[in-house]
Amino acid sequence: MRLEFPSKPDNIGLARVAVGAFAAQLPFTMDEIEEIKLAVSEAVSNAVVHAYKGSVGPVTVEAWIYPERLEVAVTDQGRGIDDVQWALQPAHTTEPEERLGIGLVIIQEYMDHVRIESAPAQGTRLRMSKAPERVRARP
Amino acid sequence: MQIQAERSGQALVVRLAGELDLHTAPAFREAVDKRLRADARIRHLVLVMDEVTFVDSSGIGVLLGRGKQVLSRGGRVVAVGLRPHLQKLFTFTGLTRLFEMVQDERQALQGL
Repeated sequence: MRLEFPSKPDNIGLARVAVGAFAAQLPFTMDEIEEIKLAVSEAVSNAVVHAYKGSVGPVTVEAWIYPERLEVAVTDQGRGIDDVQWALQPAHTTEPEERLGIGLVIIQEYMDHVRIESAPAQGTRLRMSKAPERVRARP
Repeated sequence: MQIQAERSGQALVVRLAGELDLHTAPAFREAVDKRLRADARIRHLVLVMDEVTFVDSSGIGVLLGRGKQVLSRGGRVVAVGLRPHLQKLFTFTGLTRLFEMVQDERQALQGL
């Protein structure tokens, strides 16, 4: 599936629900679906807050079903992350107010694999995957 | 997200329903801050959360911010009825160290 929308907070819920519904094609538990929705919410929120600094631009959410896992990619064409390794650490944030800077930490905790491709002014693409426990547990 | 707030003794009882994320967090922040500013009798915060279906780190952030304000007034923060699938996030983010987590609203209001 592929969903593209402007980087506004109103659209984050839509992205969660779309990926959650798509993911249900695999034998995830309800708790695992909630974890996927949380990770999507964090990734899309990061794009909404950071990518287009004061302006609005496109955010794309794509997902793929493989026999044993779900892959999700959240992409923007915004200003990029200067230092991805720095950004991956908890409380390392360039955010104002009460955001905690833990979105990427949460994604890493709740998804199996996370990869971020980003460079200044070249946009950001976050890829994450999750396998259902039921599939991983098979002998 | 639906928000209802009323004072009960020294506690502000806030009933939340729906999703707490980047989009809905500002409304929650304003609703609570407005009442905390307006009424010096309020010491404690009771968050009735059994109808909350989703919280992410934006939600945790505004919950923490309101909680810290109340704690700095010497009050307590009680979260009532948090759904099981949200408890892991509250624990993971350390919110359970600041918020008292209970299942029963009457229990929450006792002693506040």
